[in-house]
Amino acid sequence: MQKRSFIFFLLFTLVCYEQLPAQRQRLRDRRYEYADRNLPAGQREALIYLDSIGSLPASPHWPNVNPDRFLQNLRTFALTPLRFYEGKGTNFCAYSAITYIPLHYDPPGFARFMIRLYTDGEAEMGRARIKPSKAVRNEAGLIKYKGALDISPAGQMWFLSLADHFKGYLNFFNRRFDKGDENTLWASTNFAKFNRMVRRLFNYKVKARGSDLLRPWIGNIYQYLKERSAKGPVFLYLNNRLLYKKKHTISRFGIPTHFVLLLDIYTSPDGKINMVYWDYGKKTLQQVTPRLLKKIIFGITHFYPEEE
Amino acid sequence: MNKIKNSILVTATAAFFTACTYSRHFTTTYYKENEAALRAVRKNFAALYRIQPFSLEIKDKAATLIGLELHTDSIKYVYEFRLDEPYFFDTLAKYKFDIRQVSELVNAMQAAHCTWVSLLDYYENYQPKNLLFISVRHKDLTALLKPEKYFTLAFFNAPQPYDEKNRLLDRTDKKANRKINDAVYRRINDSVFYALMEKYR
Repeated sequence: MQKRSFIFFLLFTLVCYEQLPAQRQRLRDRRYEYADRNLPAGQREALIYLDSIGSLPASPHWPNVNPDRFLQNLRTFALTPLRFYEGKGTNFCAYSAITYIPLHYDPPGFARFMIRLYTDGEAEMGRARIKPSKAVRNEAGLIKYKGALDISPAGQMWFLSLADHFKGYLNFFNRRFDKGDENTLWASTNFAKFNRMVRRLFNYKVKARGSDLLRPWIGNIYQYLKERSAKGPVFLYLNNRLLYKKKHTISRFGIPTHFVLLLDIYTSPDGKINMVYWDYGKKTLQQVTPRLLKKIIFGITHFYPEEE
Repeated sequence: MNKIKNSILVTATAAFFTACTYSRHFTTTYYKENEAALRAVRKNFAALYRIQPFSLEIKDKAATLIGLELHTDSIKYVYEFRLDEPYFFDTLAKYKFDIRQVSELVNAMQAAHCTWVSLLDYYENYQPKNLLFISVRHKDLTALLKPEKYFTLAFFNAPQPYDEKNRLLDRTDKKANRKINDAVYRRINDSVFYALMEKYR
């Protein structure tokens, strides 16, 4: 009996020994593949890190997040960061907008953070220790009918964890998560909360103009945005009901409801302004008049990545 | 004299409450009355969508203002055109759309009071699917003291499950209501469902 066990042990060791170089070779091949694809160094590093993990056991902290799908999501985030999607009809736009920062400036850091959050149920990013509540951990992976967010349990984890951790005055009457709260005030973000999130999560020096009710006092808003966006990312807090109409009724009382990342802004020959912004997992190019641009913008947040 | 006063009061009250409610008749008869025009919308939209994914909006009753969203792999272009300017047709030509077919689509949308048509993505058991989404703007859906409603239609590619109250069900568990844009949809036929919504997209 002992002899048979010994033979099994020998065979097992031999198989492992045979497979290790093969696995190493696979990882090496992947490195070359990422280099061939001309991916930026950060994205490449994140993918190599995720490949090195191989597979994960199911986490007891996130009972409805499948580990294979979770890893697949993280690979997708690293490969195509601009496809990051907040889900149809949710109030996750602020969290989605700030996700541009880690996916653009520190993809491996973001991947490591997500792996820790999955395995330990809590993790640290910048000055924030994110420890989501049980209700939120149970919900991640179950959000449905939100388009591509349905198949992104990792995205659901990230959004729910941020909404659970950061609170502003809009969340005052709904502080605890209940099913369906991704569409309610529980998930919403006011301008001050948005800026606080950027400061705490990424340790950047953030400059913000504007507020939740009054527009920023800037003479030439186009020029201001043009200059700032040339130096670093600019986030806009805007009245989406005017920019992207979903009703025909005209409301005189305009308030901001949506956060986007401004990628580019320039004038067209007919005097209109073309703005390229990122939201809902896609870049959008939209033409607006200078008057509408001034009317829709309530908040402008920018930071300089080199200044911490 | 009192009787006359009372009857005037009753009639006025009834008229007031009728003005404050939407026509129920509309939701039951609209589809039958506009089936041919809706079929033309579906046919033309599907053919044009194969050339380039897009969504189309008719912004006013006379169809002089058109909203066009063009979806490419990397970027979405949001345009607003006046039909008395050449830019709309220039853009259609640039993306190799058949202009005659676009005109047919706009005419069919106008005939069926459609204000918006698009293709919506959704997932079932991690498999991507899509449905055609049409919003109808009609004077019968406006009421005094109430916000305007839109009659929205979801055209699926296959028959869908529904419960005893004709509400669309989730195909995976056949218990929960399957929502589209956060609204519960009701059956018109096995693959067409409707909901009254406050937004058209």
